[in-house]
Amino acid sequence: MTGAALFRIFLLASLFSFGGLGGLPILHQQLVDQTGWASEATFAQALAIGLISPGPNGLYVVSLGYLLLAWPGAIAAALALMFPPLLVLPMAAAYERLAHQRRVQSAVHALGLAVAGLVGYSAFAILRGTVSDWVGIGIALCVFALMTRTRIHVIVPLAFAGALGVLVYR
Amino acid sequence: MKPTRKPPGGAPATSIPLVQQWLSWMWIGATSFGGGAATLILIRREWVDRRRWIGAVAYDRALALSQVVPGITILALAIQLGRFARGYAGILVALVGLLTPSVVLTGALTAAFSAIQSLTLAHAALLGVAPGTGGLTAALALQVVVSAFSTGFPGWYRLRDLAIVAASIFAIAVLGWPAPVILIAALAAGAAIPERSR
Repeated sequence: MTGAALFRIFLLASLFSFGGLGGLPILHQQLVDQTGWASEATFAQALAIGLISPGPNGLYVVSLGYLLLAWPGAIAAALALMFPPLLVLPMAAAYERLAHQRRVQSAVHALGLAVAGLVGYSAFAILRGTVSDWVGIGIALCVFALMTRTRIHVIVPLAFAGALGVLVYR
Repeated sequence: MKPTRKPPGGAPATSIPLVQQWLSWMWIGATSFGGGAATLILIRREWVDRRRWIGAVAYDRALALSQVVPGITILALAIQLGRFARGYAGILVALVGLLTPSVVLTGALTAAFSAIQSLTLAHAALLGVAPGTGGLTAALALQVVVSAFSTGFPGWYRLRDLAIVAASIFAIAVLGWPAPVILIAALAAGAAIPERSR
């Protein structure tokens, strides 16, 4: 296993993924089934760290890279993640050229609406998957209220939620 | 510096100092605990609300375009904001600034994880944080829904807009379509039923 080989696999997965976790099936196939470089446990660990570390959840790939090849692996993953989103540049350029057409404006507005629907549904799905009791309902409501009504930093309510978790679930 | 091409949103590249942009991205990258929802909330607060480096409409459009390219949505958004603010130098500053603290912290957490893993305390803390990330995503959803509707046309167009939101939820929740298919279908629907010119 080399950094370059990992980079190629991470780049392939990122190129064929939409959203943070979309590349998971490709990575799993390449790293577990084909090369045997990673185990199921490695994946689970990387996904968990991706959730708690700062930044997009898709950075779980960085954790995976670290588990497989220490810092060179983490850096190979970070570099591989940087390239596919650059495709947004030609897309934005095309939009600029066509932005005066009302069909194009309308299409991009409709895209924004569909994104709103999908984010709304993912909020529902995450709440359904994470809230299992009254404490959870309280935590979710408090974080929601604080994030929509105050300018408080994200870290503060999450730190309180973590502390409450220690008190309640230990 | 060479003049940059006109970025999305129609405004010219700005004179926001690169150091300020870099510090802003580093701050977001280092403190956005709570996943993608936390990161998106922080980016909007920094760029739209607090520093007013980009208008809400241009920001929303950049976010929408970010959804239809491969890879991590937030990186595509950062690339567009960086380009808007300072052309290619802005893109470099955005990617390096946002990713450096996140990658270092993710690597360090991974290194420490085998030690943390055995502790029941850490597990209990995560059980508390998980519903918190649910609340965070709900807050992000409200923000995205409100801004998506605020740029629409009144009257019958509102009904069309509602139908698109409802159809996208139906497609993912009931039909189980993959998200990219739904987004492409929405693009097609928007082009098929156009609004008046803006």
